[in-house]
Amino acid sequence: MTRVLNTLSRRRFLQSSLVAGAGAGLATGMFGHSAFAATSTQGGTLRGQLFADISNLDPAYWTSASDSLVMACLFVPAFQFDPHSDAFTPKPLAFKSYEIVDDTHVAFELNQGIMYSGEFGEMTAKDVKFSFERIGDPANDSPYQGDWAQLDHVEVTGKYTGTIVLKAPFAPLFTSTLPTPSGMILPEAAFKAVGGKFTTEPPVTSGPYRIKEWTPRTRLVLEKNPDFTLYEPAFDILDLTPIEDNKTAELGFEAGDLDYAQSAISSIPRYEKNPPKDGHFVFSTGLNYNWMGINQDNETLKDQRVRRALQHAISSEVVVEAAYLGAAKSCAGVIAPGLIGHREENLYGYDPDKARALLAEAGVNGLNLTMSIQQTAEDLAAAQVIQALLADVGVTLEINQYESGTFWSLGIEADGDSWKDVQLFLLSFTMQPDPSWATAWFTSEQVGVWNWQRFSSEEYDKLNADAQVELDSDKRDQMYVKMQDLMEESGDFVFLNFEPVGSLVRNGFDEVLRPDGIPQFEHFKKV
Amino acid sequence: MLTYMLKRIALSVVVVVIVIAALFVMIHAVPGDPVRIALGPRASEALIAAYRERMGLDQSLLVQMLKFYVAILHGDLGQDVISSNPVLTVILAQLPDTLRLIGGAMIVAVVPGILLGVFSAIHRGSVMDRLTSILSVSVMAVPSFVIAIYLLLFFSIQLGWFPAIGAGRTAPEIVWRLILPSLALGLAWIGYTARILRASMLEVMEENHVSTARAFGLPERRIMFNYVLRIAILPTITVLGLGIGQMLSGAVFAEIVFGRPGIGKLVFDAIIARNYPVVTGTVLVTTVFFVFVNLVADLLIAWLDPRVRNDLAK
Amino acid sequence: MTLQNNTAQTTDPTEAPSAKRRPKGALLRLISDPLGALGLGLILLTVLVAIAAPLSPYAPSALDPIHRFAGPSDLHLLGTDNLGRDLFTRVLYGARIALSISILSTALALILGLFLGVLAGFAPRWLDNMLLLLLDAAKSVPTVMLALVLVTFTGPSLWAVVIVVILVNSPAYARIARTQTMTLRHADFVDAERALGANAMRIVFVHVLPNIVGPILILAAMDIPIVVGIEAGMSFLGLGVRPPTPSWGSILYDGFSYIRDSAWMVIAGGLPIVITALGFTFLGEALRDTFDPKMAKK
Repeated sequence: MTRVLNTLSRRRFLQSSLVAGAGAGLATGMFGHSAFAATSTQGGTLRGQLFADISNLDPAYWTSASDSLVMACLFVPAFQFDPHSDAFTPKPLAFKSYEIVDDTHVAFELNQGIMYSGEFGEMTAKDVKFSFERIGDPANDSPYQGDWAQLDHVEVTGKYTGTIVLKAPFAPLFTSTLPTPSGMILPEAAFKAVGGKFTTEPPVTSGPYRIKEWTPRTRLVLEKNPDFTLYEPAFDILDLTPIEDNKTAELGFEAGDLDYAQSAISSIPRYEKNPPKDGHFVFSTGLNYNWMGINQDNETLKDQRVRRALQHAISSEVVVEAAYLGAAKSCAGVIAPGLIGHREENLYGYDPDKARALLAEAGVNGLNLTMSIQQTAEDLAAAQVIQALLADVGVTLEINQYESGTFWSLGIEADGDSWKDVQLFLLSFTMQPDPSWATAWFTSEQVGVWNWQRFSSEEYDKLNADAQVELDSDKRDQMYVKMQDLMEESGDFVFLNFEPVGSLVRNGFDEVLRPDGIPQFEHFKKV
Repeated sequence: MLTYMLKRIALSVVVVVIVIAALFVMIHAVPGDPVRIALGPRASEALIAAYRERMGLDQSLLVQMLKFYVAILHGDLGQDVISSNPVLTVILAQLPDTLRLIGGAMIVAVVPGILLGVFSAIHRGSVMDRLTSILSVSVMAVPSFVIAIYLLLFFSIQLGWFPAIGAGRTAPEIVWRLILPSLALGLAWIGYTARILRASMLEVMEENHVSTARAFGLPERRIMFNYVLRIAILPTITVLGLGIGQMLSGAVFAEIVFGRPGIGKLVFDAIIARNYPVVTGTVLVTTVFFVFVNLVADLLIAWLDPRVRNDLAK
Repeated sequence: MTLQNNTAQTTDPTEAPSAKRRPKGALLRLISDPLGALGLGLILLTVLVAIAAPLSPYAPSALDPIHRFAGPSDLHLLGTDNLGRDLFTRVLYGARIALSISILSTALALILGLFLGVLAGFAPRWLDNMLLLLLDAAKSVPTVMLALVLVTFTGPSLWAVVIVVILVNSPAYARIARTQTMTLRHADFVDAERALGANAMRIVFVHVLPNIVGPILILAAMDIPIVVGIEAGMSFLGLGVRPPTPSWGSILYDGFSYIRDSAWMVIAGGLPIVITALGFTFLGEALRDTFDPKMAKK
C-alpha cells in the first residue's frame, strides 16, 4: 500500500541537528552517566504557540489547524505521520497491524491497553466502527464526511480486530484519512454522556496528553497522561498560548516566552540569514496554496480573452517575490511539491504584449476592475504589485479589503448577491497531504460555494471523481496535473505560491514538524 | 441627589438600548456571518443552516434584538458563535488584563499629572509653568497608537529593554509587561490631569477660606496641601472617570500593538469575524462599565467635597 | 458649586469657553504668542508640503521591490517601504489626504452639528430631548468601536473615515449651537425682532451664528488632530483609505507590519501625524488665549 504514499522532502536547517548533537554530548559529558542524561530529557515544560485558540475538538467537526494539532495530543488516531520521517509517512498508531485484503477491504488489529479516561475503559474495535461510521454517515453532516466518502461499514471481528469495508477503492485513505482527525477513535459512550456532541471540553481523552487548564484566548495547558503507553512523550506539560499574529509570536519567542513559535512570513529571509538568539530556525514549504481567482461569470470578465489577458499581464514571480520578500517561490498549481499531482509549468506566462493584444482583440479599452482581498500584509503587498502590473497593460485595479467575516461570504450564493460583483480575488486554502483535498473545491458542484471563479468543466469533474478511486500513483499524478491544466486554460486562475512556513525553536528543544511545518507537539523532544 | 442618580442611570440605560439597536441594524445590513469560519470550509450548507438556526442567526433582526434584550435581563449575553462559549465568560476572561492596563495607565496619568498640576499652579506664570502647559498640550494631541508604536519601536525593538509581549503570568512579568502599554495609554492623560488640576487649584486659591488661612499666617505649603489640593483634586476625579471610558477605546490599539489579550483585542477580532454576540456583549459591558465608573466618580466627589455634601444636605 | 455644574464644567477639558468679542489685532496677537506662531508655522509647513508634493521625482505608488527597506539616503530622504516606494514622496502626498479629509469632514461635522444644535434650540421640548439623547448615544460609543462597526457596513474607504468623524465630532458642535440658540431665543431683542416679523432663519444667521462662530472654530481647530488621528487610526486597523493611497495611517500600518525589517516606515508614517497634531493643537490653544483673555490670564 505504500505505493499511494507520497514523499515530501523536508528542507531543514543543518544547524538544528548540529545544535542537537552538541547539546546531547554536553549533557553526557557533564554527568558522565548516560542513564542520568537519558532521564534529564524527560519531564519539564514545552511552551509553544498555538496558531488560534481551540474552537472544536470533535473529530467530526473540528475547524482549524490548531484544533487538529491539539487533538493529536488528546486522542489516538489509527495512524500517525511518522515523526522520524522527512516525508508524510503514515505509520500505524492505535492500529497494531493492518492488512490490505483487497482494494476495498482493510483488516486491522488494535493495540491492547489503550485506555480512555474516566469510566470509558479500553479502546476496542467497536469504538473504531463507531468513530469512522459517525464521520462517514451523511446524516451527521460532518464537514469531513468526504474523508470516509467510500466507507461502507466497519466490520467488528473481535475485541481488537475488525475490517474497514469500502464501497470503492479510496486513494486518500492512508494519506489524509487515517492519520488525521478523521482516523481518531473515540468511544460512543462518551458522546452519549454529553448528548452526542462536544466542542472544547472533551468528555474523554486517550492520547499522550490531557487538558489540565484552559483559559479561553489566553492559555491551554496540557499535562502528560500517565496511562498512555504507545510511546513516551518527552514533556510533562505542554503550555500552549494562542497567538494568531505570527509577528507577535516571533517577539514572544525572542523575549524568551516561547520555546516554539512560527515566524512572520516577512521575517523568513531575515531568520534564514541570522538564526534567532538561543534558538534555531527551520524553513518548510507549507501545503496551503495561494492564487488569484477571476470570476468568469462576472459581466466584465465573461470574455475568455480578457481573462487570458489578465493571466498574461501578471508575473507571479514578481508578485510572490515582492509580497513574500523572497521567502516563497511562485508556483504552477494547487498541489505542493512532493505530493502526487504537483505541476511544474504554467501554460500562460508573463507576456504583457500578448495581454495588450488580447485586450485589443476583445475590444476592451480602459478596463476598470476590483480585487477583493483580506487584511494581511502579504495580500496587501501582492495586490498592490498586481495593481501596478495591470496598470502596465492599461487595466485600472481598485483594491477592496474585507474583514474575514465578510470576505468569506463574498463568492457564496447562499450569502447574498455579491458573487456576481466579485471580479478578481486573492484566496488561500488549507490542505491535507493528499491531492484530492486541493482539487475538491473547483468542481461544478462547488460553483457558488467555494468555487468563486465559477469555473466549470465536465472533464475536470470526472477526473476529480476518478482520481479518488485510482490507486496507481503515476496515473493519479497525470490526472491531477491535467486537472490543473484545465483550471489554467479556463482563464480563471493565476497560481501564485505555496505558503512558506518559518519555525523558531529554542535551543535545547528538538522540534518534530510535519514536512509542511505543522508541529507535532506530542513528539517534541528535549535535547 | 438620589433622583439625580436615578435619572442618570435611567438615561444611561436608554442610551445603551439605542446603541445596541443601532449596532444590530448596522451589523445585519451586510451579508456574512461567522458560521463559515466557525465550521470550516468543508461544512455543508445543511450543517451551516442548522448551526445558524441553533445560534438563532436565521431569525429576523427584530426577533434577534428582542431576544437579546430579554436575555440581558437574565444576565445572559448569548453565545460566542465561533467557540460556543457563553459571551459573558469570554468577556470576563479578558477583562482582568484590560483592567490592569487601564489601572497602569491611570497611575501613569495621575502621579506625574498631579505633580505637574500642583507645580504649575504654585508657580503660575513662570517659565516652568509655561513649559508644563506646552508639554501637557503636546502629549494630549498625539494619538495614543502613534505613541504605542514608537514606544514599541524604540524600547522593545531597537533597545530591547522591554522585549516582552503578551500580558505575562507571574506578578513581576505582569508588571513589566504593563509598563509600555500603560505609558502609551496614559501619557495623554498626564496633560489632562495637570491642566484640570492647575485650573481648579487656581480657582480654589481665590476662595475666602484660603485667604483666611493665609491671613492667619499658616505656612504656604500647608495651605496648598491641606486646603487647596483637597478640594481642587475633585474635578480631576471626574475627568479621570471619563478618561477610563476613552482608555477603553485606546486599549484596542495598545492591545494590538503590544500583542496583549484583552477586551479591545476581543472586540476587534469579533468585529473582523462578524461574531456579533461577542460584539454586542462587549459593547454592552464596556458601556455599562463606563457608566458605572462615572457614577462612582460622582459619588466619590459627593462624599469628598464639603460643598457638595452641604448642598445635598439642604 | 453644585454637582451638576461640576460635571458640566469639566466634561471636556478642551471645551471652548463661551463666546467673546473679537478683539482688534487678534491675528497679530496670535502670531506674537510663540505657541500660536509655532502652531501656525507647523500648519503652514503641512500645507506647503501638500502643495509641493508633485515636485518629488517619484510617483507615490511607483514600485521598486529590489530596493525595498532602504534606509535614508540622498536618493530616498526617508528610505523606502516594503515595495520599494519612496517614503518621503508618500509622506508628502499623505499631507494632501490628511488635510483634505480633515477639512472636508470637519466642515461636514460643523454643518450637521450647527443644524442639529439650532434645531434642538428652537424645537419643542420633546424633540429637543430626543435630539440630546441621540447626541449622547453617539458620544457614548467608543470611537474605535464606532469605526469598526461602521466599516463592516460601508467597507473600508475614505467616506467611512468622513462619516466616523462627523459622528464623533458633531455632537460637541451641536451642544454649543443649542445652548446659544436657547439663550438667544428668549432674549428681548430677538422677541422684538420676531414681533417685527423676522423669521427664524434671520435670527439664526444674524444673531446665533456670529455669536458662536468663534468658540466653534477654536473647537474645530483643536479637533483637527483628532480627525487626523481617526483617519490614521482607521487606516492603521486596515479600515481607512484604499491602497495604494499614501495616507499617513496606511504608511504607519505597513510600517507596523514590517517593523522589524525597517524602522523608517513607522517613523515616516508617525512623524507627520505628530507634527500636524501639535500644529493644530498649539494654534487652538493660542486662539483660545487670544479670544478669551480671562482664560489666558489663568
